Amino acid sequence: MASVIVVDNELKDSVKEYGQIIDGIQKSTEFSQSIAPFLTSAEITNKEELLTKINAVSTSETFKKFTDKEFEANFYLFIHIASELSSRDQVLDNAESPVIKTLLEVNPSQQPSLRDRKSIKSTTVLSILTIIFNLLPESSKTRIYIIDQILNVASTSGIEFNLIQDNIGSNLISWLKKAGAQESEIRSVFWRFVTLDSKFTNESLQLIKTFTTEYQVGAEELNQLVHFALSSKIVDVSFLVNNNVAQALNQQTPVASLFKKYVHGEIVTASEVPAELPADFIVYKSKILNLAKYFADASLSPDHDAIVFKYSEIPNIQSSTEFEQLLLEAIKAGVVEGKLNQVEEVFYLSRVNRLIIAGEDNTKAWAAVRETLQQWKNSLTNINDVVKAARENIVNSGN
Amino acid sequence: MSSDNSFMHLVRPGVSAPAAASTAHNAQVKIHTPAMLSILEIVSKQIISSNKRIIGTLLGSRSEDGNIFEIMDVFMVPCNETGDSIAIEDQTHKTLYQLYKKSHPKQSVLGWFGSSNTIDSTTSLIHDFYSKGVDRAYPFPAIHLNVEYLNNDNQIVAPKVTTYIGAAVGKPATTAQIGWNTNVATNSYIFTPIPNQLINGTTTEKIAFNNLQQGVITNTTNLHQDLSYLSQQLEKVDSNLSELINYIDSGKSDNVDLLRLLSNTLLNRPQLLSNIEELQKLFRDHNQDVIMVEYLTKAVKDQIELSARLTAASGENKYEA
Repeated sequence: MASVIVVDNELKDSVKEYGQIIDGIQKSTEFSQSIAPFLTSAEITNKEELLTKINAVSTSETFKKFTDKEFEANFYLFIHIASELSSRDQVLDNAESPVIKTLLEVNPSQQPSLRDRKSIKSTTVLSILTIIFNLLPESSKTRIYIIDQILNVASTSGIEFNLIQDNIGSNLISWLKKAGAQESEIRSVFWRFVTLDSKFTNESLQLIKTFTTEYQVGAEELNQLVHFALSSKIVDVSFLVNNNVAQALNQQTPVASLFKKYVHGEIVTASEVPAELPADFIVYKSKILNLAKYFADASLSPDHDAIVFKYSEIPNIQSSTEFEQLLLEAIKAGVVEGKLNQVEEVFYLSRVNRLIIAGEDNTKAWAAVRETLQQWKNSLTNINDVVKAARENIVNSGN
Repeated sequence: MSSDNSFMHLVRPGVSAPAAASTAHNAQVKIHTPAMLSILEIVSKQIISSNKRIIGTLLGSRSEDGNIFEIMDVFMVPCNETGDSIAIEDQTHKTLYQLYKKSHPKQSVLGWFGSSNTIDSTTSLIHDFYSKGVDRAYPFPAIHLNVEYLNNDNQIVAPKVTTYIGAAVGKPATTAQIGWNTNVATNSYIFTPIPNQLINGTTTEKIAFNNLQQGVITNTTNLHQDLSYLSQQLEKVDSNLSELINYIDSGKSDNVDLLRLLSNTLLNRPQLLSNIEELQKLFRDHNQDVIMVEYLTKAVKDQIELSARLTAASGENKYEA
């Protein structure tokens, strides 16, 4: 069950209540008097005319006079009355409906100042749009329009993206599909939604990953994906490369080859980075990834110890300070874990991210994983024996 | 928890409760497992007496900003429904709540739960009861948890849990306020769903639950089974590993995410795990420590008991003297 409006009053009483509210804000009894003739009989007869009168007075100018709290409750009453006087389909399931138009006009164009505690906030408009969305049937096309408007409100009002990220992110595609949106529409709404994330968070990267698993990636979308991934604080974005993205990366564009180089752990140069992206930041990120790649390769190589690394062995660094700084950044980014012995200039590796890319030959990686699992399984049997022996020991010594 | 993900929840809607947080944030309900089991047990009684309405009170705590509700316990409140009207045994609610409050002073009433296929004016009446008055959710907003487990033909289906918050509709009635006890005339709400999740139990609860599933808890539970818990878990991990190895061997392994996860977490395992002698030594040492601590605890306990007896005996001697 989605949202449900339960109003305990008769429709006539609700209209009277609405009349009093409007009178209160307009400081005249004009509106109540004008609707009084409609409310004389037991049932409202001329619903259409009454609705026209109510719509005429329920403009954005009138609603803007309310305080934030009054506005929301009164707007719900307006929605209820309008739905009862005509039908919910006409009032809500209609992008041209005066209710939705008024609501969008009320949305403040700039954030209210801190001193201002009363004026209507964008979050309130967002809350009403959410309830309208929930009141609509799943298959309604208007739901797509409402989502679009929610993204509009979110982008113009400076609302924190994390407020909408979780709920919209995890359900957006299924909502759009149920509402019968075309594939092109789904794509455009999704990318519009994701690019609202100005912090390029990991959650959004995961959403992109899920999305690209299901949908083919076009040239423009690949461009957006690469821009988003490279601008993000997340260093290891190799998880974004699934089969669809790998296919798109086969294009011979500068962006595609830059991203390919980056996710393979190669150091990129500032000249390769498009002008609109932060070049220094990306070059540094690629250095971190390159270090992780070195650790990953060397730890599996038979010629090298699996966990002990001397400073002098690390490639592409000039000084020990540079290495330590880079290593700390790598640990902060979560791609490497380990212990550092500064005195002896040795790094003990305990975990490193390995760059697994879809669409490439991963047989070796699978074999390595299988071998480790087998070793683990054998050692578990050992541990179990140890536990059993220890228990028997305790029991026997207790007797 | 809720299987119906068709609803959108971004910001908690405006509620009439005076203590509701003014900052816009999304609301969330967390349900503790024992509370959920009690709810299911209580609402399932509804079917016994030809679908008579059964309701109860949700107890627990709110986050500081009042947007996260944690349901920790519940109790049933008797009510009588005749036609459109409903009478809730207010006194029972009060007594039970005050009893509960004695043992859980930091928890309070969060709202109510019931089981119904539709939300109607009765729902709004009950919600109103819980939203206002002392010993209820007032001055915070009340939440409503609905368990739908009967379909329209009165057949039992898998329970579907939905949590709602009641947004205020229309004019907030401003009747005279005496202390905390305000009588607001309106019973109008928009019940809008908010996300809920079941909180996993603690480790102890999980162990107990596993035992329940295996049916080993009887009156004659012996220590042997408690001690073998570690072995059981080891065997379980072992069988999971075998399953994983079989999956990899089957050649269907094109799951890059799985490979990435395993490669990133497994490949640099501690060397210790394959060194059985070292492992044995460590485990034995650890056990020796535990036995030592137990021994010392026992010794101290004996000393205390002895001292208590000696004091008592010397007291008696004095009295006799």
